Amino acid sequence: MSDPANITLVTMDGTTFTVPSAYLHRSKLVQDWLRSEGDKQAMEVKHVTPFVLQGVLNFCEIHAEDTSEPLADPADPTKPFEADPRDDAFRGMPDDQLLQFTMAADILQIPELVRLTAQEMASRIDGKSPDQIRAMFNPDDLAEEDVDSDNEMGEVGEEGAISK
Amino acid sequence: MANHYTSQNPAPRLPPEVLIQVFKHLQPEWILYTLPLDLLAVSLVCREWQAVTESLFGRMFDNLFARCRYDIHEFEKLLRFFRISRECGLDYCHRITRITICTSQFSKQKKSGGWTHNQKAENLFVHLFSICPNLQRVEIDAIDVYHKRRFKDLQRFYTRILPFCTKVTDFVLENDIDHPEKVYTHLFLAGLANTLHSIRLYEAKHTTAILRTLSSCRHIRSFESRYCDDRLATAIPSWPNLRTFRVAQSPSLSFSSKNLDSVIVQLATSCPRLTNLELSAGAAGCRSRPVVRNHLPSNAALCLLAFRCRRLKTVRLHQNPKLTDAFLRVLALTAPRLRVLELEECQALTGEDVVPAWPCLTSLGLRGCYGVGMAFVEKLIAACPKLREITAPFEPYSEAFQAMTERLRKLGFVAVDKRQLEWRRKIDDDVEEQEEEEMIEVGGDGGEAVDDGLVLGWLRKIKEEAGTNLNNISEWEEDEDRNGMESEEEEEEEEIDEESDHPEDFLF
Repeated sequence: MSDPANITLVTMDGTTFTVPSAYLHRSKLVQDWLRSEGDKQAMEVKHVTPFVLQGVLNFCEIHAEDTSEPLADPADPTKPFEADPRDDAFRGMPDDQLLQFTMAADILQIPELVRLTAQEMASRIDGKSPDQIRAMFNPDDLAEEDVDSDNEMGEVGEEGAISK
Repeated sequence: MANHYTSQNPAPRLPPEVLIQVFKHLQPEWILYTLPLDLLAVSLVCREWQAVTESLFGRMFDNLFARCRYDIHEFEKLLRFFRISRECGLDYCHRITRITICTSQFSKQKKSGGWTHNQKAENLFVHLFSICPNLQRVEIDAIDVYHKRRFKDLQRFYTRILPFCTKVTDFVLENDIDHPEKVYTHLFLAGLANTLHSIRLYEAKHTTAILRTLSSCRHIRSFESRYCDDRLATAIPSWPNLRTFRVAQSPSLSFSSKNLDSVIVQLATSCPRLTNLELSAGAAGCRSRPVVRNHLPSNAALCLLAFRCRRLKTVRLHQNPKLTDAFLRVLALTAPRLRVLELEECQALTGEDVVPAWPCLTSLGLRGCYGVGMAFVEKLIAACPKLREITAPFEPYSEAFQAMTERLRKLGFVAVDKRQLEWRRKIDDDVEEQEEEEMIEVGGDGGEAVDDGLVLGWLRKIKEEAGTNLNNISEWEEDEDRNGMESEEEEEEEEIDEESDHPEDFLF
C-alpha cells in the first residue's frame, strides 16, 4: 500500500477518490479490504456512481470524528432514532438518489448510513398508497407477469418517471 | 449531478436485506396501537417487496385488530388495501382469523359536544366481517355502552355481523358487566352456539337469558369467566366436551352468597373430559378490597370432581381455606395425568399421609400453604421425576424455609426469584409424549373400583352443606347406581357424538 493514511476508491466508471482511511473506519467492506488486500493500489467499488460515492464520502467525513459505538443493528426496533442535524442534506435528496444512497450504504456496509437512508425511505413511505410508493421508488408492478428480469429492469428504469 | 437511468445504468433494485432494513422502520415496536398500514402498503408494491414483507408479517394478521386504537380513516385505508390485495391475488382478508371490536369505536363526538353513533364505523366493521371468510374468533370489548340509544345500535350491529360468523369458534366478551341482555349479547351468542368451542365472558353476569344461551352451546370445550355464581350449574350439563373451566373471580364483583358447590358437582357429573380446572381469586389489583370467600366450593365437592374427572392435567385452586388433604388423596388416586398442581394459600392442607402418584407432574405451586411440610415436598419430588417447577409453601426466612432451600439445592433446583420461593430445575425430557399417554392408560379402570361408598359419603355431605340447592344430586345418585351395574366403558379422547340422542350414555 502506497500511503497507509489514505485510501483510493474507484467507482464503476473509473473515477477515483482518495480520502483519509480514517473516514471509512465505519465501513465494514473497506475495513475487510484493508485487512486482506490492503497492499493493492485502489479499491474498486462496483455498482456505485461517482456522484453517490462522493455523497457517501461526505457523510463519512462529517461523521469521521464520531465516537459513538458502532451500530450493531441499523434497524434496532427497540429505540427511536434521533435525527442528527448534520445529516439534513441527505434527507433532502430526491427519491432516486436516496435509493442509490441506500444501495451504496449497503454495499459499503456502513450501518449508520444504512440506518439514515432506510429511515428516510421509511418516512417517505409513511402514509402512502402502494401506487404512490411505486411511483417514488419504482420497482416492477406487482400485477405484471414475470418477464426476463434483466430486460425488465432496464425497461422499467428507462420509462420509470422518477418523479418528485 | 443528474441521474439518468439507462439500460446500462438501471434504477437500483434494492436487495431483500436492504428492503428489510427499510421496512423494519415502518412498524417499529415502540409504536403501539396503530394498524400496520405502511407495511401492508409496501407489500402491495411489487412481488419482490411482498416476499420481503412476508418475513416481517409474523402473526400480524392474527393480531391486526387487537390494538384497537385507530381512527376511522385508517380503518378505511386498511379495507382499501385489502381490496387491492384481492386484486393482486393475495387476499389478505383470508388470513384474518380474529377480529377485536371496541364498542367505543362506534361513537363519535358531535360538534355540540355530545356523543352520537358513528354509522360509518359500523358499516365499515360490517364490511370487514363480510370479507373475512376464515374468521374464527370474535372479541368484543363493550365499553361506553350506557345509553339506551347505544343498546339498540349494538344490537343492530350484532344482527348484521352474525351471518358472517359461521366459522367462529371463539367468543370473548369483555367489560360488559350489567348490560348483556340489553345489548342482546345473548342473541349474538345464540347465533354462534352451533360452532362455539370457547367462550370467555369476562365480567358478564350470568343472567337467565345468558344462561339459557350458554346451555345451547353444546360444543363448548373451554369456558372462562371472571364472574361465576351457582346458577351456572344449569348450563354445565350441556357441555359434555368441556376441557377447560377457568374462573378468576374478581372480589370486586358482587355475586350470589351461595357457594359454587352446585357448579363443581355439575362439572363432576357432566364433564368427564375436563382437563383444566382453575378457580383463582382474580386480579391481584383487587386485593385491597375484602376478599369475599363465600363462593368458594367445599372440599367435598372438589373431591367429588377429582374422583369423577380422571383426565385432569391442570388444577389451580387459590385461596380456598376449605380445601383439605382429602382432595390431594383423591387426586393421587384418580389423576395420573396431572401436570400442573397449583394450590395457593390453601392453608388447611398439610400433605401428611398423602402418597403422590402423578408421574407427569411438571409444576407444583404451594405458595402460602403454610401447613404443608417439607416431608410432603420431598415425597413429591421423589415420586414425580418430571417435576421442573416448585413454588415453596414456607414462610420466607423461617427455619423450615432454610432447611428446604438446602434440600432443594441438593435435588438440583435453583431459585429463580429473590425471595427464593420459586424454584426450577432442568430435566432431560426425552420421553415421547406418546409413551406418556400410554403410560397413563392405567388410570381409567383401575381407579374405578376405589370406593363408591366414599363418593356417596361426599354426596351426603354436600347435600347437608348445600341444603336443597342441589336438586339434581338425586338424579346423579341414580345415575351412579345404574352405572355401577353396567360395564364401564370409557372412550379415549373421542368426541361425544353430536348426533347422539343420549350423550349421557357415554359418561362413566
